[in-house]
Amino acid sequence: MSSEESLTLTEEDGRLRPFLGALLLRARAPLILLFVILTAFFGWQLRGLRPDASFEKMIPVSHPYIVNFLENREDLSGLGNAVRIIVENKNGDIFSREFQQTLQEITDEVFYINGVDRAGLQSLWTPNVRWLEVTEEGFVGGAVIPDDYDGSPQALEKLRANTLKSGQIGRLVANNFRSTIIVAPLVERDPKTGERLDYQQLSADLEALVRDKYQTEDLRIHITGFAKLVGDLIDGASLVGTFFAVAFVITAVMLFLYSRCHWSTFAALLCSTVAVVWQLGLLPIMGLGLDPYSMLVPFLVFAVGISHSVQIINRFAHLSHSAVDTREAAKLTFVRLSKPGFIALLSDGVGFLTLRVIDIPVIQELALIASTGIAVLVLTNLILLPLVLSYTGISQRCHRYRDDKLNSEYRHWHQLSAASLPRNAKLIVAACTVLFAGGWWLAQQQKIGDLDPGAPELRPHSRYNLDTAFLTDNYSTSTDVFVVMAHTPPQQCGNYQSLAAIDHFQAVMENVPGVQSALSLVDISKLVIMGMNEGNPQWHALSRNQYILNNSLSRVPSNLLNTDCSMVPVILFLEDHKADTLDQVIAAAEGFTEQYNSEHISFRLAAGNAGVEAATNIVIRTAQNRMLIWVYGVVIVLCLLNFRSLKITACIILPLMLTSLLGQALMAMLGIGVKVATLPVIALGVGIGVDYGIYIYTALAHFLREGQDLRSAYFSALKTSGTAVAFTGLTLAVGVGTWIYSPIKFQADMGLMLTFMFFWNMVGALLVLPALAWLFGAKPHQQVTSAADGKA
Amino acid sequence: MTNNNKQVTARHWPRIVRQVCAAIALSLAGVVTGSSAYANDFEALPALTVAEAGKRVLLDITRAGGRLVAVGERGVVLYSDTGGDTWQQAVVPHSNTLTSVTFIDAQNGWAAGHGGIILHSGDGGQTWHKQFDGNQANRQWLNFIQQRRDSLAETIEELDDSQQAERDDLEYRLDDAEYALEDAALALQTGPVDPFLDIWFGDAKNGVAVGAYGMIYRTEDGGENWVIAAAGIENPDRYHYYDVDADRSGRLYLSGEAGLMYRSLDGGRQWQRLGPFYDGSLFGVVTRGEEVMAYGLRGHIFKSVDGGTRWQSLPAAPFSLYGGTRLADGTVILVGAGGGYLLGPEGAPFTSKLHPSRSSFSSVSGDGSGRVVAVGMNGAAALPQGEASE
Repeated sequence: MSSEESLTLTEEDGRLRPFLGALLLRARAPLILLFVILTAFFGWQLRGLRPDASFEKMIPVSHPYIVNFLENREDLSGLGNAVRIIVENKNGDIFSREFQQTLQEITDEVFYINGVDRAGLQSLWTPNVRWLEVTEEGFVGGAVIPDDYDGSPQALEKLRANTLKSGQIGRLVANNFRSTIIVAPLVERDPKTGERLDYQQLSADLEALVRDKYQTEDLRIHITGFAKLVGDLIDGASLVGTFFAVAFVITAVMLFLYSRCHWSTFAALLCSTVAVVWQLGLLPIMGLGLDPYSMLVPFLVFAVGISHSVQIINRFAHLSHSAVDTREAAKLTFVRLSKPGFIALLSDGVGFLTLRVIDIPVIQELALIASTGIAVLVLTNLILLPLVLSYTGISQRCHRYRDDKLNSEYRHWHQLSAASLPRNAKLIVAACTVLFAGGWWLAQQQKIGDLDPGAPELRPHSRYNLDTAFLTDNYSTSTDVFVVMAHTPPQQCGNYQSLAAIDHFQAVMENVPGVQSALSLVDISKLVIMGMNEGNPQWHALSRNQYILNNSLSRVPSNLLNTDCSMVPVILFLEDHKADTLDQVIAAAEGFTEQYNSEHISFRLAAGNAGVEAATNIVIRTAQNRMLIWVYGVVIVLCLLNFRSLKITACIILPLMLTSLLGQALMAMLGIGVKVATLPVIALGVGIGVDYGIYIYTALAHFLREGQDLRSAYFSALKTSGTAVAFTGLTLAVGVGTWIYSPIKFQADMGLMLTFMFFWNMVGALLVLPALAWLFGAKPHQQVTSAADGKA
Repeated sequence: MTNNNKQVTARHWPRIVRQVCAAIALSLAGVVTGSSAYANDFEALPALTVAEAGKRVLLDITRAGGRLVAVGERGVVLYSDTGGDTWQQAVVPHSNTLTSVTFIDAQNGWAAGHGGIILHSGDGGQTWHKQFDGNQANRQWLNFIQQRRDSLAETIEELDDSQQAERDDLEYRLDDAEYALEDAALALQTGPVDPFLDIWFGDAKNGVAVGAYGMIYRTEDGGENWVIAAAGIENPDRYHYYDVDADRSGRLYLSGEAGLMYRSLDGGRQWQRLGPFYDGSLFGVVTRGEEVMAYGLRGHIFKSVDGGTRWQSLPAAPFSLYGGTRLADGTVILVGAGGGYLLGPEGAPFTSKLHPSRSSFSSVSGDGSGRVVAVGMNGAAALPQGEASE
């Protein structure tokens, strides 16, 4: 890079790149046609692109807990994949004629919704919800809705009595009798077509056929359940299109303000958009869908594409302005920028790839997709863009703007370059030290995992989470479920010894702070034994008599044991899913297994949303440091290779480290935990952030070599690449900044963190780097022999 | 009562066949239990210290002086000197679920429960030690049945041919005894199964413990030795015994499954069957002066004012009644399913109430200073008296 750019090929340009450049430009028409065809092909592939919220990808599949969970997945599938529709009477209790009529209508409506397991549907109006009473002759019972129900006060009174006898208070009927639940278990596959359940469609059906149809001022509908959550997630994710449009428009405006040239703006946007189309089109070919995490990638690809385009259109405009024809200018641009562009993209791509050390598929996929996107950018922005520019040229306005710019004195850059003066540099270094210490202290308080109640994927005040909160407030249930699987030899799960061990385990776990209650077939067994003894609570205990036990287990719901009676899920209901709570639960459960696991019964952790979260936390806790070591290791090696100087490498890396630390401190301050969504942010930030330092220091070294003093050299460096770096930082920040408004909480967290990282990395490169250069004694001539020759 | 059915269907098999079957069953039982001999018998572990103990399943509550003592699931014993506001957990060496507790004064008390366990406390319920367990009960029962079988066989031997009718009857009873012997041998293999459902003491020495399948044991030395007392009571179907209580004159009443009602005038040695006046379960007996009341399934209540000879039916409560007590002022309180309870001041009919928890109660006790605490599936709850709670 040079402010006085040579308009003819020089020794520095080598022989390969001029050859390639000439070749490319000679074949520019067929090449552009090829790009058009490929873009059409990838565009056509977009048909196959599906939103994807696969649960399995978001979990650390090789952690022992998850291995245990996945091994028993089929047997655990009956646990909880149900939708709960809560119908609330705002003006009284549920025992009114109008309310019951609506409830009956909604029950009928839900019965016919596709995906609902009709036999398992439960509400006060389904025949499987019964009351039971022991009489002298034996059991008597019936449907909760009296056979002769006619809506009269007497019938309603009978209904109330039956409800009390049914034992459904706190389960189907709220503790305050003001609402009642319709439980709709779901079938994973359509029994007729064999197709997988379409969560999005189901969620839409529930909205249209239940909530929109029946909700009034007096009657509120609340819907919870994993299927509804996934539906809401996919709905929320579809807003991403809007975010992309907003980011696109803002970027276009910024580009135009920067270049004042509609042709350059058009060419940069076109090539970056083509990169996004290719990247998205590659997904179905690689057999991937667009999950809420990898939705980040198009934004990154677009932003990185724009920032490299800025370098290219800047150089092209400069060359064109210097009265070279557009074709020659395009060729020279390619010759001069393909190498630094390639190295910068390489460092981005490798930085992303380091994310693959994290053992969570969604992050590994994110790494792969992002690296692929970066590879695509090499083609679209380093090759296609100069070709397009060779046709379009630059506009007249751009020429005038260039003139103005050259004549200005770059006053703001002049002021900024003072950062390299000793007095200012000392101040900056001191301030950074303070920030470093403060950041370090705050970063220690960083929490692992999700910190908010409800479904962590959505915002605390989203409708889904409000509905969930309503459920937990009014019913005896919790949404944070930790499942421990008790394994026995086949057919032994109902043995007294197995059940006694499970019973004892439950007793131990119920004493752990944060555990509300425990449930397994032991509880059912005790209740049935009590029922067989006329409901007398004195019989609420296990029996060593196997006949009695077998009898008591004959009515256990099938989801509480597997088909060959070798595994019993023990369900722990937790107060929340904070990392501290989960740690206590794990410690207690592991302690029990160490003491009591044997060949007869072994308790294995862990399933349920809280169990999965616990395993994820464990993986993330270790992965965070591993990932930082890897990503910093990679960028340090790249810097050392490029500059062959430890001091320069330190000048570039230290500002990045400060940003990483401040990022962690920010997370601690804002209450954002380290989780699947926020873990990759630091690696992405470092991978892209290192570009700034490389550009700036390359220019700085060039001018230092020319014999300028530090401040002049830095001023010159800012003049050539300062604008591009600042612009890059802003485009990247804007690209991901729109995510802050996502209804999906983890996307918002990601957006916020990335915006912060990209912006601070830029500030670090422009302000802290020169101060560090002073600190490490960068002087004219001194680095000539050791620094790279500035070609990069 | 599955064993009863089995007796009926197989009664007519030749005895030799059944003895072979029994031998096989016994040896199989040995193999099965032998092979699944676990390192851990969780009931033998000391009771866990539990968080929020007052919310756990509690099955019986009583007074020890001014203190309330409650027992419940997995060996939990709690005591409260604050009328049930706060609870402390006692030290208990086993985790059997306890169904019954009784104190004769502020210091000495006994608790009984599942696995045939009987515990004693000499310090007002703070620490407990074991007096008796289901293994001992199983051995005593086996001996008892063996003796009965032997004496029946002996009697049959001594009969001559002219007493054919009597012989048939005795052979029939001998068959039953053979079966009971098989069951008893199996039970010994299975381990301590059957629960005690009530324990009662008249003074520091004499007590009775009763339970499932006709379990009945007596002590005359404060529980040092518990001795099977099945000889003094007729219960051929081995129905459960639920509750023992004494009236002012020292008459003992015992209620049980299938409308069983007995009276003993000699402290529990010999029991005389009363009734029958009901065929459902009578879960409890409560006395007031010379008056005795039995209550049970579906809220049925029966009262006798002549020492148990004649019984009259009182209006039934709309819920099963599982426990009851008499307060110092003579008010009888009965508690039961779904949070229901009855208040019966002396000389007035019962009024029915519903506790807002709606959770089943198993037992109730006054604390001696006007407060009443019920226990059940949701732990302990203060019962408001007098004013309507519904």
